[in-house]
Amino acid sequence: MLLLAILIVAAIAGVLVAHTRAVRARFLMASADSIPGDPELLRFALSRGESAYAEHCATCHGAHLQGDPKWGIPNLADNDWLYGTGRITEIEHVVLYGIRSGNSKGWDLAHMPAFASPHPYSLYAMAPLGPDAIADVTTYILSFQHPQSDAAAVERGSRIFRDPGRGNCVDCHGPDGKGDSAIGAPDLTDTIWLSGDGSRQSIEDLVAHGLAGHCPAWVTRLSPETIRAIAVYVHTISAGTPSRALAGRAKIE
Amino acid sequence: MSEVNTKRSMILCAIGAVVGLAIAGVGLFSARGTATRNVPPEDIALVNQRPVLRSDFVAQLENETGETFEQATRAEKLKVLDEMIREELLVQRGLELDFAETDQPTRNALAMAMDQQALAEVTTSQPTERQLRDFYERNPGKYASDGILTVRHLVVPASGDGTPEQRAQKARDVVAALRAGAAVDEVIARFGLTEPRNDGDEFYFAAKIHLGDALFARALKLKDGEVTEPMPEPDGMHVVKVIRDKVPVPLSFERARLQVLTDLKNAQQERLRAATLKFLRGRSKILVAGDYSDYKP
Repeated sequence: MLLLAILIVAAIAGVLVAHTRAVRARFLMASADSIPGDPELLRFALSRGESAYAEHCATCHGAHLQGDPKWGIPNLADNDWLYGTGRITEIEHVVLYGIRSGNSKGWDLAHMPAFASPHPYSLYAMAPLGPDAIADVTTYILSFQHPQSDAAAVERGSRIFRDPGRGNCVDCHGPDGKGDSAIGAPDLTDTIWLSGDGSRQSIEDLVAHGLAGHCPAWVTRLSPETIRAIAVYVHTISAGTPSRALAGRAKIE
Repeated sequence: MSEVNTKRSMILCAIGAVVGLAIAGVGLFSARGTATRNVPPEDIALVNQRPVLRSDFVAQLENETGETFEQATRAEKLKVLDEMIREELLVQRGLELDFAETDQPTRNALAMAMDQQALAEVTTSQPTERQLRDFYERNPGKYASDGILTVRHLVVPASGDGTPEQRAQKARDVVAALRAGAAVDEVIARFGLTEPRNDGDEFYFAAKIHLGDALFARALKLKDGEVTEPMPEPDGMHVVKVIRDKVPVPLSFERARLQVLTDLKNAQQERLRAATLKFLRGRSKILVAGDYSDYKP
């Protein structure tokens, strides 16, 4: 009897291990973007992703993925993406290789120049802007959402925004100010602010002193499975589909 | 009774041994790096046991085709896979040929990559609020608003009429007229002066570039509305009237926090870079030729 019991337990354990390994293999071999459509793979991802996120990402992005505009740390839960469009493949790439992380496969194509400095941009020569010009550009940016009483300042700001020799904000943020997720340039026309609160003061500070956030490359520190699980978790939360654990916690609260 | 127990013990021992061997075998042949016949699920290929990650494959495919992985055709996927295997083969050959020793672009890339790798921990870490406040408090006066200077900068040109002494006198007359309250534009017209730039409000750094160090230093000592003494320069006698000097005022920690973060990280990076090089030097044997014996790191 004892022998039989041992054999049964061993057999069940073997089946479970084999099943988990098969799911893991399928999880890693599947197209990342197809995972939400497969309930078994999604469960597998979320069961690992939430704790891995809490351990490795929450320090900066917050326990609820809310980010922190005081530090220019993006909110990951609002489905507004600085890099890419929020596909799991794209999130996975960021987790793997980071942003300005020192890893050559990470995102590092541009950063916000500091226009109130002699050399505003590290990648190529740009002319600094004076206080008046920074104020005008700020007025122009504010005009995307609120009508500005100083139409002349809006016009001057618009010219600087588009001037290839001065300001040249258009190069990253686009002619309509809607940004470019291929280089991580934020949309300036919406109400979401990567850094600061969208006030005149905070926009002027950004134009004057620049911004270049960082995200670590986890490729050498976490397993491919964990990285993918984090990407699926972040995507799931951002898309408004809370994980089971989060939903449970919400009920308790 | 004793015979039955011995038999059972032997059977259990045998089962234990078989299970143990089976576990060891599975562990040995499926462990990462030893699975020589199977490609791990996270990889798309192994080239001489060097993995080509699936995630890299997907990223390269999407970059090259401009399509998502699902949209790409099988032919496109195979083409990209072939390119990545080809690249891996060439990289491995490059390592065999020791390109790091002989090829300058490879050396540059390696040196830069190592530097960035060494600093990555600091670059991507998020200091605590306490660390930032400590750094802010250890650097009093560093965090201030940008000083803004508005000046009119007038020049009695060296190429103008008269002797140098006459031009110096003219410059003194300009200063007297300005101090007496004459309008700047009227003085320019009356004395035939030039005005190299009139940029309105300028940050201190820009005004310093515009005026030059000496004239800028003089201007900073004046109050709004005051005029400098004439200052001789190769191109003429320079006079500056300070319209407005908005001096820097200390910023609160809240206002300065992003600058504090940047400065703290820069300071940490410099320390880490120095420590890394010290470590590398410490474990290396560096011999310098006799004619450069005065070399110091």
